[in-house]
Amino acid sequence: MAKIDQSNSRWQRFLDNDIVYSFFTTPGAIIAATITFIAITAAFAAPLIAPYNPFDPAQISLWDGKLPPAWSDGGSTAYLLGTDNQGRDMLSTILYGGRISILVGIAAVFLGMLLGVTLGVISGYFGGLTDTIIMRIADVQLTIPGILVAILINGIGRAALPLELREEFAIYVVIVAIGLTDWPQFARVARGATLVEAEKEYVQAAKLIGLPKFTIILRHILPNTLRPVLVIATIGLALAIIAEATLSFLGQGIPPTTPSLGTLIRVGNEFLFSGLWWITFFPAIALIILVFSVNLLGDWMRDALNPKLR
Amino acid sequence: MSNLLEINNLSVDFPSRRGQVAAVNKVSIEVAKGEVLGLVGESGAGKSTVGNSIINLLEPPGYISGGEIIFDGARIDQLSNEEMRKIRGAKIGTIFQDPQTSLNPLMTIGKQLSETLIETLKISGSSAREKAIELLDSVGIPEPEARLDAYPHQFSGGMRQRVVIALALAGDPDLIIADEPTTALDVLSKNKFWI
Amino acid sequence: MFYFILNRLAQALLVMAVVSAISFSLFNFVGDPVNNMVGQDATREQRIEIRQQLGLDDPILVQYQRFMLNVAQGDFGLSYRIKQPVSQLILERLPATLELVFASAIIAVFIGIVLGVFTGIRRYSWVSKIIMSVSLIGVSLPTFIIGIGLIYLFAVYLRWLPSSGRAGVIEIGGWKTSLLTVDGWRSIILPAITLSLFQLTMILRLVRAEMLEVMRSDYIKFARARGLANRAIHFGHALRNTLVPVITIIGLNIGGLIAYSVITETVFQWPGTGLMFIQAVDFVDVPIMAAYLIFVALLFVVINLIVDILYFVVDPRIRRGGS
Repeated sequence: MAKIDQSNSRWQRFLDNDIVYSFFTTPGAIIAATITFIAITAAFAAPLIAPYNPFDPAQISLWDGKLPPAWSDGGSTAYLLGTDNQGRDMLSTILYGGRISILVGIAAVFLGMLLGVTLGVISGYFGGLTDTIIMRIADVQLTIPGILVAILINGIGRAALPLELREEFAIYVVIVAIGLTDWPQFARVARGATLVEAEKEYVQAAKLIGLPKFTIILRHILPNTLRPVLVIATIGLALAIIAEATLSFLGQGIPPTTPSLGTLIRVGNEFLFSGLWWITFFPAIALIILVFSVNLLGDWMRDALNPKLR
Repeated sequence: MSNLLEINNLSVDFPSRRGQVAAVNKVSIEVAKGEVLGLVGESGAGKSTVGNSIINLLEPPGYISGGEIIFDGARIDQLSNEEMRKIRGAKIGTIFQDPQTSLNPLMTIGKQLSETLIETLKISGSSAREKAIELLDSVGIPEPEARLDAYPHQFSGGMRQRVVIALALAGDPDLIIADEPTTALDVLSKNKFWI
Repeated sequence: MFYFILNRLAQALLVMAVVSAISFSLFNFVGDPVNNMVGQDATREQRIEIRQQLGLDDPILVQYQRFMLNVAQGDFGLSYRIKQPVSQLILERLPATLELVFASAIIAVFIGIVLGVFTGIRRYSWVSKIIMSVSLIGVSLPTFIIGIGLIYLFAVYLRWLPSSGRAGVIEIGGWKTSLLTVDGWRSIILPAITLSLFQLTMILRLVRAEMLEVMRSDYIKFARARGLANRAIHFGHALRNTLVPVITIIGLNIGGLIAYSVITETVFQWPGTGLMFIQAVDFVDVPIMAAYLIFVALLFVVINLIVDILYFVVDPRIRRGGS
């Protein structure tokens, strides 16, 4: 016989929510979220928890350079993951690097989301020529793989900057490049959700009452686009982090003065052949773990929020 | 037993995280040869589920939790999928609700008919084609030979359902299960169907 | 059908127009073309002369027109760094990229479809679960990390394969190929695998998802109800319906291969057009950048046109104007 749950407390209802249920019963999701959470906290708290500040020249000692990880021959517990060729502690550089990677990723996705959702909602709500134009542009851009768009925009952006400012503004060019790569996905999804909501009766009612368009959009339509946009955003974050790492690895992203994980990998790559494997290895592992957990989270979210798959 | 189909105390359960949900609870019916039996009920009552369980095509995670299904004197609810397959089409024909989605949009109806005929009647390809034309004719489709190479979307809703009927009849089955066959049709076609 | 092609062509032209405008702006406004040609020490008179020679004082539209005429003839001027015609440079390096893309495409498509169908049909087998886990890793790992990993494993540690560069090149009628020698194959394998992995996992997951979706459809249920055998259902019905959307995606994926070849070429120092572009950005070699931009745009526009037409032909529903 079927049992029907009669409890009505808010907490109970929250736990009964399909999404929450799915989260707690998918072990992968919990692990992924935990790792992501740890990674993000660690990265943000880098200045506080890193053993050293790798960018303070006073804390670097060239003599300690090229040390292997603590558990290898020649390593020391002062530098848990070894040091790079200039004597910087690997653990610290990874924490600082991860911080840049995540921050750039979040900024880029945020930019893409802002631009994309705005254009998408406008496109969906007002329809007509505006809609056609915006969607056509989005479609055309979507036919080119994101990473290539990012590389091209980044390349052009860098070239357009005068020589002296290139390094300083590199990080902003990267954020803008990746953000501009992302917007079509957000626009598409936001537009779709807008179209669905705009047809609903309560929106028609609001229009009849005479509420100004802006209010309707903000108060009614926008909140309902959040669900699908959130899924895109999580996946987008993973892609943004990868994109930034790739750009940096190609030498066209974040410069080595404030390196991201990608930059660290590039710089460390040169030492791969001389046997100093840890200089590339640990940043690479950190990047992989980060991307992996963000991806898992996005996957789970997509499944949980998709009514069709249940 | 003169009954073609006998269902005794059939129960079908769907496990969900709130416990077992009984979609069908101890249902018993009898259908004799030549008889037409209608199952009437509101939406969600479990009519389709009964139909699906007879041919063992329950949507997972549903399963038969009790009772028995006897067809032509033999019990069929415990058969393996391979044994059941031989009964489907050849002995029991099924018509589902929506003719639009029942047909593969990328395959000509001639091909869909032929493959069914070849499988259930064990005849050759060329005889299958002839038989297919006969079938289409018998369900009232004009110009059947030309229509063999047409795709499902080239038929109207009513015509499509006739094609589905032809497919269900192809194996010359002893029993037909029709699950709300006219629900997806417009009013005019509905009337034509029963004629 | 005619109207369809016309519509797509018009779109294509619009895209090319926009891209060429961007390309032109690059040429004109990035850096000082005069500086790039003659360097810092030129006198004022020399600069004025060069400006006139290059027609830099003409109205913008005239310059744009000239630019477009040149582009139409494939003339992008000289590379700032290498001092050779850009079009020649591109043509020289194209075979390397094309061969790499070709090799990767074969790997990605074949293995991707096979594994996708398998994991779709045998959804719950442990082999499928392993394949899916590995594919998740494949999507998470950035291409360049896979590349570095492969280099380290096969080139540095095992010393089986070369770590970079393109070896064993033979020239046949102007086309320098590396696919005809053992050395050539040894040098292309790692980059080809690296390049294919991302696409492979994407194709695999796509085919699998399509397969699963199709297997749940009503017409498959009806096919079962008619007593059709598993093989007829899987390969006669399901596969056919799965492949239609998958073909489009594969077509679009070719573009992805070209995009990721930029990264792969850089990791393996493979002398193709991708590496050329990256080096051009490093040196702000504008003619190459501008040319590459137009080149890439043209490529994608053509690919999409072909895919659109293919899809049109394959899916009878679109052909007849809707269902």
